[in-house]
Amino acid sequence: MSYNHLFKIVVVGDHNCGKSCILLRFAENSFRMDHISTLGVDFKLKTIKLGRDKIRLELWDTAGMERYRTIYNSYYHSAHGVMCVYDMTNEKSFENLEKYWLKEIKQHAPPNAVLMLVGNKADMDQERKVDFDRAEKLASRLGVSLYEVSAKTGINCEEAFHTLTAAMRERITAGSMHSDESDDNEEFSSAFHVDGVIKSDKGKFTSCCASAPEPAFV
Amino acid sequence: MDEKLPESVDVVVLGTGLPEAILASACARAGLSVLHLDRNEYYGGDWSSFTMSMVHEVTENQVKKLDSSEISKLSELLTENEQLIELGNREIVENIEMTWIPRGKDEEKPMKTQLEEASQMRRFSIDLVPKILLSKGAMVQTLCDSQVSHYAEFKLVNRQLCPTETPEAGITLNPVPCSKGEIFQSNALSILEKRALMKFITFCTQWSTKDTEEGRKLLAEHADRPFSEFLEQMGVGKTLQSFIINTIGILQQRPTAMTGMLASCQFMDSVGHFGPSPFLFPLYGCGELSQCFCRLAAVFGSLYCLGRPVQAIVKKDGKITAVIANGDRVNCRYIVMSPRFVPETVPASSTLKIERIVYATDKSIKEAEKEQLTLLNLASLRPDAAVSRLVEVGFEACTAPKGHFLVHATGTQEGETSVKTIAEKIFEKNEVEPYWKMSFTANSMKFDTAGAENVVVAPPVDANLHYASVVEECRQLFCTTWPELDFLPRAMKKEEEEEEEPETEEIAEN
Repeated sequence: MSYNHLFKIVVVGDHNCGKSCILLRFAENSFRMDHISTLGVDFKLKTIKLGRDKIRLELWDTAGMERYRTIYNSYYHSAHGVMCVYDMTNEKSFENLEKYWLKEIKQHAPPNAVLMLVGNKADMDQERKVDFDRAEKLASRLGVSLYEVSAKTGINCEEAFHTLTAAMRERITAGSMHSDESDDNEEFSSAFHVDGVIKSDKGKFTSCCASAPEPAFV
Repeated sequence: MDEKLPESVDVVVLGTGLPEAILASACARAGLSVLHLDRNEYYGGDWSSFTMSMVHEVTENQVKKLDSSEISKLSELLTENEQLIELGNREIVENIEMTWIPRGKDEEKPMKTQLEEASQMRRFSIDLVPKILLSKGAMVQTLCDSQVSHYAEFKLVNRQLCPTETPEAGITLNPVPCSKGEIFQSNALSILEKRALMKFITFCTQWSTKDTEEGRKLLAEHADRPFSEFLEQMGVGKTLQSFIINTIGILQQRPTAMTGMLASCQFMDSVGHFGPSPFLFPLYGCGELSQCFCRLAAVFGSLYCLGRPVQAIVKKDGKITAVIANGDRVNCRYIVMSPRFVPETVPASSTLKIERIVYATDKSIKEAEKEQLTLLNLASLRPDAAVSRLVEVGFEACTAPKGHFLVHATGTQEGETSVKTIAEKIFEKNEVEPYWKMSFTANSMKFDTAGAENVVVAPPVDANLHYASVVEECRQLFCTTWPELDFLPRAMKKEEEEEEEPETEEIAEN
């Protein structure tokens, strides 16, 4: 299997605002009604088509480490996109975007990562505490997209990820035209996972054969 | 954020160094409930990596002793027959000196200013404990079995250099061929040396198929005598002996024929697995691995809390029953702790002092067309010392900005020559001028006991080149403490339920 692009998206935001549910909705089109928050959610792989391009997405969840604000800085390494989630029925989770999460992202995420704001629980409009205008003002000031979604019903989840993916593709395409931006891209070449999956120089993702290459000494 | 800690867990882990992270992940994976705490705001403890902006944190871990009023306040959390025990704060990393080095009048701006203005300070990843991975070693195996491999990326250490020193020429750095192809192309070896080396490699290939006893017989009277003697009787000359012992045999210090052969076979077994070199280095530096194992623990339910000081532990009937962190009591059945926290009343059974210096430079110790990740074994220049090596990593490993390098010198403290002296000789010979340096002593402390039967003391930092002993010690500690549980068992590979896009759509697009 081959892809035109491989992108890493990390999802951040307060505990219990529904990050894992959004990720599961998009990756597996499922919703977990149980309230075991984030146990076992790691990362998901999903391939989508965007025009003529086949794009492989690595969707990374915090694995619950945001509860005491202990996300490790390598979580953000090599991220192409950051999805910053708040719960629109919980005003504090929105306030914490500026108090904490945007600062964290600025400190640890790559400077050219694409940011998106996502308000979850759009199906609970009666309990809404953060109105759209207010969130839109923050998004405009930051120059980023805003989506209101519901992981429970699936509203806008697909659209949010597609928009983020298109923005990442656009940025990486534009970036290759400027030598100063290409520094980040170069870092990805020839690095590999030890379970046999190698990223090629072009950023494509290729699998090794089931068996590792034969040792040179035979 | 002041969210409450849980009231009770199976295991509290203190410290987020690599061994503590491995043990936390093994416990969580085995179904135990885990609370993982670190006094620092960052992961890694004594095994951390730092950006250039944050590296000063390594000097700022001063912890005050509990005073009598604090002790009496915490004692209110105790019940009958319980005893409050203050945690230790041992100097695992000490004598830290950090300095920017002015480089002369031709420099318009100091390097520090240049880096700050270009926002490059965060591009550094400065390791306290730089190690490499052996392609077929215990760490790679554990990464694959546990699937922590998903979280980490690696680069080949694609250059090994063998130093030779003469009074006239000083220290020369000779590239080491690691594979058959490289051996034939090498300029560093004569034709005769290549033949002798190929003969040795062929012997290794055959020898590695024997069992231990049979292998020992083949070495005959040389088995427990110096490896160099065995090589000499095989017709290997002095220069090539040094090359074999210090590069192919790098995994074993001061080898006998038996241990030298084992090390050489291990080396060659790893060549070609991921590329021509047997060694790997983690992208973004070695501190990354602690974070990766912590993530696995979190995926299996471990709770993480940084920056919350653990003030004391609670003991009853020879067992630890709880920890007290930030005024909260957390009951637990076991504690895993970094050696740093072992109570001061418990004596260390041994302490090894490791000399460490990190230099930042803007030129490689041996220039090449493409940037290399480099390993040098300095054993031939410090024959009295058990450990002497240099690791140079830069932009390719995401540990320095483009055009910059970090040079890590590591040595045990024996003999008259320090590893620092040799590093600086190499710089001078190759016209490398470091612009920043950090030196410290790492204390590798071992404990036979931690003062209570349900306390596990994690392995200490060590001077070993690779991770095998850390992984194996963690495995043994885990299996001794929880004999009925599996240590990071091989995970079932998730089936990627990817549906191929129908080709009709492709045709329609066109």
